Amino acid sequence: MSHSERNGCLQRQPPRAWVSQQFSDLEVVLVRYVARYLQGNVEAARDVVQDAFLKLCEQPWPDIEQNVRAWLYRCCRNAATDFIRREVRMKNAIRDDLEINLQADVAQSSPDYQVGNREELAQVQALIRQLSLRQQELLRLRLQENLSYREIAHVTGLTVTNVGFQLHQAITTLRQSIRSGM
Amino acid sequence: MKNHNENDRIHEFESSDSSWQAQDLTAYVLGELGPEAARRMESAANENQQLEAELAEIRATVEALTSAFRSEKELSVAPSDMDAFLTPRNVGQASSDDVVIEKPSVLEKSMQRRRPVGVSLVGLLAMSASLLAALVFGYPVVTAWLSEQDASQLGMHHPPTSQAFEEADKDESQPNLNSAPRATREALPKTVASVTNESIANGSRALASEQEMTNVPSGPIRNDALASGSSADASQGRRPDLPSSGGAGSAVATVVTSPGYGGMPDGYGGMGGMGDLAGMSGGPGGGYGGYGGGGYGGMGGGYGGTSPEPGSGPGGGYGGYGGEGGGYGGYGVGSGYGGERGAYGDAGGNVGGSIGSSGRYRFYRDEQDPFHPEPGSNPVSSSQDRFASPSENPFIAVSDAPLSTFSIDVDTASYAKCRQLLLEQGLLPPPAAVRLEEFVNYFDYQYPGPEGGEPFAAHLAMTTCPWQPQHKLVRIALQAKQQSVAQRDSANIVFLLDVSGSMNAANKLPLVKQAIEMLVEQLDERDRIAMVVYAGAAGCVLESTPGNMRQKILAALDSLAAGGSTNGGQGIQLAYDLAREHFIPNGINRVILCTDGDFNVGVTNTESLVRLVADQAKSKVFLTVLGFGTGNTNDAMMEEISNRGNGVYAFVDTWREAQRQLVQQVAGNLITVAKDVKIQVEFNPRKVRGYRLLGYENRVLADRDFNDDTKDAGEIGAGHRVTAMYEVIPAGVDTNFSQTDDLIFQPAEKSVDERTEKPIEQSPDDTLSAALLAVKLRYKQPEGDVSQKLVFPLQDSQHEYASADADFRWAATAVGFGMLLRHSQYSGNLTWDRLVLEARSIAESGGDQQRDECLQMMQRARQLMRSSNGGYPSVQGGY
Repeated sequence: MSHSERNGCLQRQPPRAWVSQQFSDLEVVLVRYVARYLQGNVEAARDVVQDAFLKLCEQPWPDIEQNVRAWLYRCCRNAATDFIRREVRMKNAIRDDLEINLQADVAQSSPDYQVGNREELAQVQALIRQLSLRQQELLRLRLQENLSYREIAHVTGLTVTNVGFQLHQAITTLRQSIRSGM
Repeated sequence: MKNHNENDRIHEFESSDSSWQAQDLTAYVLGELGPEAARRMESAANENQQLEAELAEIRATVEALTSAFRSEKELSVAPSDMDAFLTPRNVGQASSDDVVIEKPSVLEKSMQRRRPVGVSLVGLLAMSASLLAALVFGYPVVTAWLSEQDASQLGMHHPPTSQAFEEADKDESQPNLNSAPRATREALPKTVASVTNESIANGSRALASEQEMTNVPSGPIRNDALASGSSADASQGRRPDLPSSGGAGSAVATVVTSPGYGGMPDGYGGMGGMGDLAGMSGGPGGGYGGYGGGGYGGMGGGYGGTSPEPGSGPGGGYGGYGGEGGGYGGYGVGSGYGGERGAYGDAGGNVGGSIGSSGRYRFYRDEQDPFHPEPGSNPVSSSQDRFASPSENPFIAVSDAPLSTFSIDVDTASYAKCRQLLLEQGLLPPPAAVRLEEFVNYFDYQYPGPEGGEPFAAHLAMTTCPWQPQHKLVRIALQAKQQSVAQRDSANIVFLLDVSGSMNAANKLPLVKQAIEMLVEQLDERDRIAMVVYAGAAGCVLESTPGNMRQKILAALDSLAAGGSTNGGQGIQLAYDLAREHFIPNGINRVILCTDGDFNVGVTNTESLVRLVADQAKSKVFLTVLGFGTGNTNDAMMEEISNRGNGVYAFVDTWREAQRQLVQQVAGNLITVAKDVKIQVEFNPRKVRGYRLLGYENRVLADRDFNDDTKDAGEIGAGHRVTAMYEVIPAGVDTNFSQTDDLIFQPAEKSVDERTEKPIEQSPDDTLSAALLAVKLRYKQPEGDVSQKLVFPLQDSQHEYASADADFRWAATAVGFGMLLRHSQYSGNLTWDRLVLEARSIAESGGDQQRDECLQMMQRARQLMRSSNGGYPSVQGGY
């Protein structure tokens, strides 16, 4: 292989500067996102994310440009799911772990939150965990990762309408619980 | 990314009838309704109390959820180095066997996915036409062609949304919601401002590396933005003082080109020319066409060609995205491949970069996104530096460059950001976010003020360098005079602060606090300040207080925390009441509303708020609306409020902007004691072998700009102080740092004052010729246009670091902290343990809150650095 040959085909691959820009913009949030899937395994998450960026370099350019964020999320999510399957971890196990993590998190969270409304937050977190895993994921994608409905649809394979509906269901459920319980 | 996000979110969900679906309410609260639908939702809620209550409840739930998610402890994830795994060998490996010139069928196929076949063929033909034109005539012809192309594309209604999403939309049946993907182009103007800084930073980074590239022996490499989005921008889109020439007009003999992209869908405008960047009898030179028009500026330049000569491999570069259209401006990258040896270096592409529909080209070297620093334009720079990795200032040989010039405007956003990450979130800051000069200048130092009429005093000092005992550490400190009784009007200011949950982001409430802190520094006993918050219930957190009671004001400020939903109506009433109560005749009477886009005061409250503001304006209490955060969708409303309130509306996204808006507008410009302050340090080549400016990477000026009064630089206000540090390699110390050989024709002694052209050695002043270095300062009086110059020499001395005063040692410690956070390659024998030890000993002797806090940060960072287990390696050349 010579470099000149590579020059020829690089033309339909994303420019390095652009990939680099995406990388510096998104790497950390993606690693966090995947690590949450992988029970806090940051190193594995990093591998998943780096793989995703390697794949990104092979994507047709500039088609990939417009929805790169959703594409990366989806790519990472799929890889994370594969990883979990490989590790033969049951969803329940993740759920339990997540629960433990979340509880520990409340205690360690920043002082601002501890003062006034720690109790309230813990309650909300408990309520979140009562939702279906699907709805939890959608809420996280929307409120934690700040993805739009459209991007979430792309990431999860649901339709935009369905994303909107499920999020509405989730929020309505929580709203009712909060109204009745808190 | 916010841009993509915002674009995506503006798609429309239009309801076919007036009764709202339940999920529309949720979509509205989540900002997923299009502007039209959102407006109708608002007016519907206006008439229907039940609907309004419903919305409020959903909003409260969403905020509770957001808070719950946000309160989770985030995993510590440090950014890694992309280059570590994304080597040139990895990239493109899968397809490395492809032939040089793409088969048309492949290309066509890829283009068909975006547009009809006919168009793609047109695009191809047009492409090659432009290419030829570019090759023969240079870029003006290309741009002339481009404008035609732009015009012809106006007829194509092909929204620039991604194919995948469009298909998804088509598949969906949405009974009541029509998804109308009219998105991106409309959304773009709003995102321009936020993109600007980034793209400028990219551009200049590329620029710096382009200079390096001139030394790379891999044959002729040209990087040119051949084209830009429209003809209007062709010339403006290029940086006028770049050494590279236009087009591919020169140095091209034979050119075989592979096709690039042309004829982008509507929304992308014209295409760029293709760069042939070939060697003497170059092989193929590819090129990206430019995006122009609607979103992305024209991008030009191209991948470089090859030369068949062994050893001189292909070189090339992407030209920058540039041009009009207000999207990206000035991406620029290039790559040069060093022939058979496989050496790889990045060469900067040229930079387009006119931003916004005005198409005016802007290239502020010293006004950049604080979190996207660029490497300095120093001539010596490692070839391993990557365009995307803001590098550290390297050591520079005095024989190469005896002058070091920079502007002194320094903010402290980087330190504040790192503090927030470390202490509040338990995260290591990304190395790129750490800026040494901001770390140093965050702290108070006791420097004596100037004597006589000068606006500031300079205090120079040097010791051995604590992390590199063979080197010296030089501190240059400026202290501006304290302003005597300023003849400005008294101010009566009431802050009305939105502290709803949505304000809980680094670029919102913390920035608001900083801005107010800055303002408070300028106030005195004649002034009054009060603070009213609104979130859930409105309340007064600080009754009107004289401006000199800073402790009280700052304590109130400290107690602010975001949380809860928003109810603005009461707040604004309260704020105006306070302002009227303490009205100062002939003074500045102003309510300053700080809020983000989520002005969710409820529909009726919005209306009444506007009315209220209009009423209050008659009472000569004026209103300033400051918008914080990004993704602001309520521009129009804020604009309206401020218009009705005889006020101004400004969007504040950075510390610098906050300062501009608050300090300069409200306190007036009387605090400025000097403007366009530039520092130039001249090193004595007989005493100094090399030097490194610590920090100030993106404040570096070209040496010749020092004496150019038309070049802007920073302002310095009353009582301000600025500290800069150099690590100096004394003459005779044999450190291998220089990337270039000693010059053959330049005697090491030669050094001239560039204005007088008179060698400094001829100066009769012995103290000057024996000095280690001389600091030259240029400044203008606040109203002046002509600069004045001050010169301060620093004599060589043998002081030990340990004997230096606490301020000097603290400044050095702050630098060390920054270097360790950045994984600096220059941190010598400095370790976290040593750093913490030193910081503790200074902090304990001084008893300064800021330093105590910094010590905490260091300890936290040390801990995190250990727990991350060396997760990412120290990166050569900085991060």
